Amino acid sequence: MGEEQVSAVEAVELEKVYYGAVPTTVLRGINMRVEPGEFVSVLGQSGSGKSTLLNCLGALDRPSAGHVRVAGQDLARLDDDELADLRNSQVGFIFQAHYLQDEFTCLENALMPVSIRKGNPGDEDLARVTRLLERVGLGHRLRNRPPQLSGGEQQRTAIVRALANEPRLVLADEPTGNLDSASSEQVFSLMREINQETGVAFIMVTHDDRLASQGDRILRIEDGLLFEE
Amino acid sequence: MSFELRLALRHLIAGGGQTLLIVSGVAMAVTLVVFISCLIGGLQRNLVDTLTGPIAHVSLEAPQRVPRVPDTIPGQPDALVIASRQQRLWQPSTIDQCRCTEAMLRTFDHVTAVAPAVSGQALLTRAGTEKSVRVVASPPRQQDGISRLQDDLIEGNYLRLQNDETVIGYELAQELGVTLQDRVRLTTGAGISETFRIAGIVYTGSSSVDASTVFITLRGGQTLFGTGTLVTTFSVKLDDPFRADDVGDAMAASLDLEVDTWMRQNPQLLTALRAQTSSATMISVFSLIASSFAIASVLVVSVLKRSKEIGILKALGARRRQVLRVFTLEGLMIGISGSLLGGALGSAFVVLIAQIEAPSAVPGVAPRALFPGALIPSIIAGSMIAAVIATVIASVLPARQAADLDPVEVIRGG
Repeated sequence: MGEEQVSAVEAVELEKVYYGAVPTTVLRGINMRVEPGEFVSVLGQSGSGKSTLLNCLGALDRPSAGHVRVAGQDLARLDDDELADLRNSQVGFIFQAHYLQDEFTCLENALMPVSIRKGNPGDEDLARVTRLLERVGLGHRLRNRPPQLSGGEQQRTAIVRALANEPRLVLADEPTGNLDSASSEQVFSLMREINQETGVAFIMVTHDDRLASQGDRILRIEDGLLFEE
Repeated sequence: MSFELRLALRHLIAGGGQTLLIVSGVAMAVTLVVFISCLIGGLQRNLVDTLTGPIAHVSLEAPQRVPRVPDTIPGQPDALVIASRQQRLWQPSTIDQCRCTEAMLRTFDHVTAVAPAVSGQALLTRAGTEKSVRVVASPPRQQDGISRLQDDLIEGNYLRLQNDETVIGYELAQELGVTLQDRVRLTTGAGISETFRIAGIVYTGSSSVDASTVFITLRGGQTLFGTGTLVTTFSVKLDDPFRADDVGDAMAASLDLEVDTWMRQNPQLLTALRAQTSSATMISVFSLIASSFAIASVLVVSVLKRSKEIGILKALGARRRQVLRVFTLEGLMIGISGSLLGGALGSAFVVLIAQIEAPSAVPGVAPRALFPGALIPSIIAGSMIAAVIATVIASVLPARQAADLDPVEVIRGG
């Protein structure tokens, strides 16, 4: 089975309803697929359902209806532990806040998904992740802790953490939202370069039209409906 | 080292003062439990030791002979029989086949010493002063296994006691105003009278012994009480005083002897000991419960503080059970370090307080500890294990709270 035939992620008639005091439909029948190697930007107003879409695509949240397939696996068939394992091995997350752990060094933070999977990272993992950190310009920061890093450096560490287990898909939820324009530019370029070098599919939610336009495709989400531009 | 253990350890180290506080909380509870339990345990041991040290744990006597009442008189079916039971006051009943019985008693579990004896009441006179005393006549070497008399002597000697010599209690000697080498006269109810030279004065700490018991040799007693070569009593010492009733029952079941134990003679004391033990247990249990609540609440707060990290760990693929393990391990580590610290502190306090001495009222007797606490390994280990278990239980609620965190909620909130 050729890898090209399997989409990195695919959503079929995806719906998400939040059952609060008043049920709120956040996503209404979304169909999309992202192929390996693609870099897709998702634009939308706040509250339009971008983050919910990302959470559903990344196996963090279960859809109310419809199907999500990550690397060909239907998420509806997996139990909570299997979803956790899938997130660990197939999906990388980058959030607006870096969410690094202050008690661990830059290298240990980047290795977190490996540690979760294996307990102790092996030499190979160590070499791979160190290479990635060097690739994003943090070779000299391996032993530093997050509070000693700049905002851009923290977010670059978070990028390496998302890539640590060599996932097929990276989901970035406004990754440059907390950064100044220079750092934003740098973080975005790195993601784009890594996407092109490794063939990992990226889906990036952003407010920034200029950054969005540098991806392969732009999807716009409005009131829970998805439009291709 | 597993990832969960590393994470738990980092959390605790990062917790700094808070970790120190919660560990000291556990340590304090364990210190209290160890200290109170060892102190009370030590006091009880001391009390039981003082009480039963100089006496037999189990004593066996030949049954009193009671006249047998015929139900009917042959040939006179309607006759009324009038008879009275009369205890023979002066002639003690005796145990036959002394050596055989003695050997048999030694075969019972927990028996450490057996001494044959002739014992009975006698009148002790010295220069017009009279005093009713209990006479224990037994081979000194065997009796010493029951009463530790040689160790408890203030002056004189017991093990080399001659047939015309006696060892008497300190209080009795005070009362009669006698000292070593003085002569006293013992007169039995049967009118037999002998003089004995005082070869030793003993202070056992038990006033029943010190104030009204005299020890002579078995041969001396057999002459005094006219039992020939027979004995009236066997004294038995056990390795554990609290088994006296069990062992006594077993002996009664297989030998035709009347059995008495120190436990049956001192029911109030046993009740008091039991009450003391249960109050110590109550204090221990409640202090552990209180510390568990404190630990649980501190851990709940620490989970709240770390909810973002926990959320991100789950987003990165940590399973529910892994998160549960992290926080349970934190509880376990807190429990172990607190227990070790508390066990050491509590033991140190017990040792320190045992140094305080109560001045002795009796010359020639070494001062005793005012608080004779004992480092009882089972109590110390038990308290520590209980504290570790309590801490782990206390960490289960916060750990579940952490494991059930929904990463979506946490990340949306951030």
